[in-house]
Amino acid sequence: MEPSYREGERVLTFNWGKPRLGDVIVFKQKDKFYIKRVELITAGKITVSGDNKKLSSKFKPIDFRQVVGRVVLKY
Amino acid sequence: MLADADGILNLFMRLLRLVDKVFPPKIVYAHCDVPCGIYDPKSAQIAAATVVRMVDLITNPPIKVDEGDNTSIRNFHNAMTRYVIVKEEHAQKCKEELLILWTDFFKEEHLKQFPKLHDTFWNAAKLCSKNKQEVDLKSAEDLKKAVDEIADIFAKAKAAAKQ
Repeated sequence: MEPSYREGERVLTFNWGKPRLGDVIVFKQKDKFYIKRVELITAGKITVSGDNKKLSSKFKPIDFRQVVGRVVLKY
Repeated sequence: MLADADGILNLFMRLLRLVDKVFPPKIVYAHCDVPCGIYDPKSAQIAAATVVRMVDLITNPPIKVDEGDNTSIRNFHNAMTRYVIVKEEHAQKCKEELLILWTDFFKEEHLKQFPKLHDTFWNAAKLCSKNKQEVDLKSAEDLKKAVDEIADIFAKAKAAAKQ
């Protein structure tokens, strides 16, 4: 997620309200937590992508229930 | 007013850091393991070669120890400890890199082309553990051979995919 978020930085997430386009979210997949930006929302699915397009992992669209929260603060 | 807002935000961030000390935050990742679709056995090969080198250094240390000199003894123990730590770390790294290749890169269809694929990986992963537990040049060289064999299989699988 560089350059927006670098390794070792901490984020605060809130889980009220639905994610919107452009939001950075934390979501859970196979017992691990991931941070990505919302690229597209369609029919209950969220397509996410990383800010670092060269290195970012590609994920299949995720379900809303996988979302842990929206990033509201980096500290 | 803006300066006040910054001050409050900074205070809030410091407060969050304090809270983190009591309730450590969960780790979030931006990548699954490596960027998807990019796999390479080189990291495992370098790690295995490092294990061989460390076993060689532990078995034949380049540092001479003078039993009557405390500084010499300390330096000897320091060097040996470093070799052991590097061996441990690289055997673990080798295992992790192999597991990524085994579970993520190789698919069921590869088993037709390489029927001994699972055995080869199983053997290599076991050798990583053996090299953590022991200091044995044969085990280290066996690990290097096993990883090189996997690198060869990987190259053939990639070549077959291009056809």
